[in-house]
Amino acid sequence: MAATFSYSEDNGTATGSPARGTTTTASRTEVNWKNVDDSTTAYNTQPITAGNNSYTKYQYGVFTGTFNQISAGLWAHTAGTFGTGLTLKGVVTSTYATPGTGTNASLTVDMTAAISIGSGQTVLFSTTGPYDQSPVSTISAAGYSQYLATQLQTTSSTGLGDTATATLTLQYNEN
Amino acid sequence: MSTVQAPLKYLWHVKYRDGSGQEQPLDDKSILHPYDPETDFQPSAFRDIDQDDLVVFSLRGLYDTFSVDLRTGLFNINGVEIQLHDQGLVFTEPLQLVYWRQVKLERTGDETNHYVDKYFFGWKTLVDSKSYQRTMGIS
Repeated sequence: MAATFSYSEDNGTATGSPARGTTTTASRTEVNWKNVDDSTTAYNTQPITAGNNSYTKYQYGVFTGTFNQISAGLWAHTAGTFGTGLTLKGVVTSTYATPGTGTNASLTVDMTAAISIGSGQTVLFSTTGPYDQSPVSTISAAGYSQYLATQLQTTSSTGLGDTATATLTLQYNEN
Repeated sequence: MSTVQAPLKYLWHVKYRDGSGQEQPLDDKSILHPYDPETDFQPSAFRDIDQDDLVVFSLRGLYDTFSVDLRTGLFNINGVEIQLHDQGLVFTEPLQLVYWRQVKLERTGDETNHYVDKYFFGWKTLVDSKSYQRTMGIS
């Protein structure tokens, strides 16, 4: 046995202090960038028009189950090549903002190119929530990662149809 | 994938100074630290290891055994002894166990591959206020 992991996603207007999404959807199985701020609408019914951006996605990890400590979190785009005109921007953050389709300047990391997970962004943890303003490198009880925020940005030269499939990797240590 | 757990290929076993032993149970649940309904959390059995009395830590798989002796700092792979620290290093403080599993969650489309990539184990200590750590990573 080991830690049990799932992804959750926050959507909607930023609410509370510290801010989080109005809606939380647990046990997310995918991250599809699309032209609607929700977790479950099929991406092919809300496509991004070339030249526009997806709504920003705010997903995070939930750690339950059996473990002693969780630490050393890293996150990166590790496989898959996006097509012409596509840019994946992202950041690991404890700050939630109401998702929109405007270019999100808070997403400071260009994740378009796949890299090794060892070069990924540092992910911190909290036993409170992904919005905890004082996340730590190690947790010793059930908890959460910070938000793993992403936005797919396009140009007018972006081709029609589905993008290539990308692999996003989250790595952590447990014992 | 909604919730996932990485299966364990190796389970730990420890030997104490008095010759007694303790092994990682299949459910990995701590006995000394039971499930806490308030936090909905069950600590793992690793928390039950008496670090002060520990002398040998092993990882056992179906065919292989890897271990470290915290009295000498020597590692062992299926009976072959391996020294990873300099010959001239003289320990002045007890060696402390370090152990973690490096876990990867690779999400591609609707599929998530959740697995233990490597098991790391070894020791850390201070010699003349300088920190030393030696670990072995196995996959």
